[in-house]
Amino acid sequence: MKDVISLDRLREGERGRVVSIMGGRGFRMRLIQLGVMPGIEVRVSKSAFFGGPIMIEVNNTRVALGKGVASRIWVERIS
Amino acid sequence: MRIALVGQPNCGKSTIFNQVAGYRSVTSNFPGTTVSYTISDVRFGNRVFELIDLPGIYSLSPTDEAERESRRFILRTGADLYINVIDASLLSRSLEFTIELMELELPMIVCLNMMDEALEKGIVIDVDKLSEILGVPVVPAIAKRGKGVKELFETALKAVEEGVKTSPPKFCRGVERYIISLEDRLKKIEIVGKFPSRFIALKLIEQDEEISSMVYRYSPDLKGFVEDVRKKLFEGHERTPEEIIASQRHSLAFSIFEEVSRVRRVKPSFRDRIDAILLNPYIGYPFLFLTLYAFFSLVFRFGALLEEPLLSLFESIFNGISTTFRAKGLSFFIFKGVYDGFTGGLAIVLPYLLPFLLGLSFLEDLGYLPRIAFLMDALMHRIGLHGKAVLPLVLGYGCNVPAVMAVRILDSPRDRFVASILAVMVPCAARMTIIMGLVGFYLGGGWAFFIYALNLFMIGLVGWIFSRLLPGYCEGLIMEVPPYRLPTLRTVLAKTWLRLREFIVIAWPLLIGGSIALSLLTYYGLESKLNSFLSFITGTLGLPSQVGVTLIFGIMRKELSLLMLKQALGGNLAILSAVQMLVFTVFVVFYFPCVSTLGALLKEIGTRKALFVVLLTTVLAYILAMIVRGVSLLFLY
Repeated sequence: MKDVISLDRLREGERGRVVSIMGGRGFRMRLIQLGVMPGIEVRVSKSAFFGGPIMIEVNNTRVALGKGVASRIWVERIS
Repeated sequence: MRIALVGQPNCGKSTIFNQVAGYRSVTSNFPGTTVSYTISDVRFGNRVFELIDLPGIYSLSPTDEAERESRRFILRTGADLYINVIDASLLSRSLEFTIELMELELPMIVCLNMMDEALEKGIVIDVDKLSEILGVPVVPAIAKRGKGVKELFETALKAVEEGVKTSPPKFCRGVERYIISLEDRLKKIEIVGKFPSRFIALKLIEQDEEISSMVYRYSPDLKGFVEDVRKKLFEGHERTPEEIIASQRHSLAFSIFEEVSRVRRVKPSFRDRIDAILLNPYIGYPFLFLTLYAFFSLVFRFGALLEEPLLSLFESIFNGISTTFRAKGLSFFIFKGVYDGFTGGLAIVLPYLLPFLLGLSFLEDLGYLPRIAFLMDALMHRIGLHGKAVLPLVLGYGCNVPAVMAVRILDSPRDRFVASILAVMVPCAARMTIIMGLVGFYLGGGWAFFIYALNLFMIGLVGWIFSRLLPGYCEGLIMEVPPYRLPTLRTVLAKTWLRLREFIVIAWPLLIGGSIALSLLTYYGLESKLNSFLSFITGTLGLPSQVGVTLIFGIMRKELSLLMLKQALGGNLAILSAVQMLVFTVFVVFYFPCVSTLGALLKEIGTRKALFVVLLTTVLAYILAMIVRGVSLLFLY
């Protein structure tokens, strides 16, 4: 069994590979636009505090994701 | 001839545009500054063409209004040539969009902008090889320094003459065969028209609303075939067809990127380390507060320094001149109107406006605004919005018109409505001059700060109430955060001038015109009639009846109400009591959006909602002014 968790539970500096995204078409399209899609590796560069957003690095860019958004993205932790 | 700049957000399209068209399009360091397109005639050598600066668009599947505007232009209006602007430091991701443009077989060339940033990141790009693979000319550039811009337009004009064609790269075979089978069906029914069949096939598989409904209207039987293709794709890959096609483009882009560039590992830059500190919750919030506090106090100090000597200078000049008028006839009143309007703009508005606009331009270009959005996200959720909505609100401090237009970067209509109500409440630069020039100047900076705090609190409260009243759910923050960029002096000055010119060309004449109108009203004795009509407002708020008419003029431009108040009170604002100053300022800050803002509201959210905002803000202004009056009467006397 692989270690699959929601993206907001990765710790600062950890990497993960996106497995699936829960949500409607519009929601997934917006993430795809910024390069967040299944199969892609992301790194958490700033984890959430007080229910705030997280910052991830994907495709050489930084993307801010609200906590609610991050909790709907499932990733496989890469150690 | 029409040439359009197209590319992902924040890649420097407007910077290129401004380099050849003069500074007309606002540039900032955050994604989505340009929300509607700007057109300009450009003379280049002996050629004249139309250049269009389109809003940034991540992909041809738009998710917000600004992106939809770009797509509409590309699909319906069209240009003779497209310049696909790419942030070279983000080559891999940008190429995904380039591939989409190629699927449309658009005539295009590529501009690799921000070559300096790519180098800084350790990315070296073989420009010739990229051009060879894409099959179109590629021009490297550093637009903010003007490098490569001349070559870019030389290449563009040559490309128009000689004609460039693009043809899209192919996906992997497992996906490609479904696209081909769909294309074959499309070719048989001959509805393809002006779009390439591959583009339509892909959009059908992606379930693009506009293209699908267009195609199915002509041949409804195709729907079943597309459904079948989608099902087979899903079974083969265990992913949604949209994700499959996106990842096909992604891997194509990535393999082109690997072929044309070498990447050296570089140490985390200074800029990354700044972010680690400024986004740390324990440092980030105090820093944000201090930055904004320092910004507004600097503006206030600078303005107050100039306001006092300018006011007394203009008053003594006026006293000198007015003795030359024998009787207080019509000519005297007209002269007084012109003089008051002109000097008021110079002494009360400009001293605050100039440093404010300079500072705002600097903050925007630096790239601090997306960080504010990041820090404020959790708080914004409490008022039913997410962090991205901070951008229109911050822009509102400059002017409410671009702020209302900037709500286009939000994706749901509900968010746009709430954000536009709040954006209108933000005290713009015009209202800032009233807060600082009246309350700050006469009562002290602390009271000006109080008005800002009260305003922020009310924005929060109104947002909180509406987020509970309106149905719907806030999707959450998804936003690209660009790197910090040190603004060049030239762009900061150019942008400040662009906004200042607005004041000089539009607002100042209005101030003078309004001032003359008030003078004439006084001369013909109509002023008192209007004032007594409005006394139901001024009387209950404990304001002098002369205030009445200034409130009407304030709807044209908010600064007008202060300048006219000065005029209506016989040139001396100091005869107002402290309470009256506070009540007046609170009322003017909150009531009725100015005419230009109203126009923007009508366009963005429609007549009914716009009228609702007008009513809401005016009622709110009245209630707040009453409360301020009541409370201060309790404590000050």
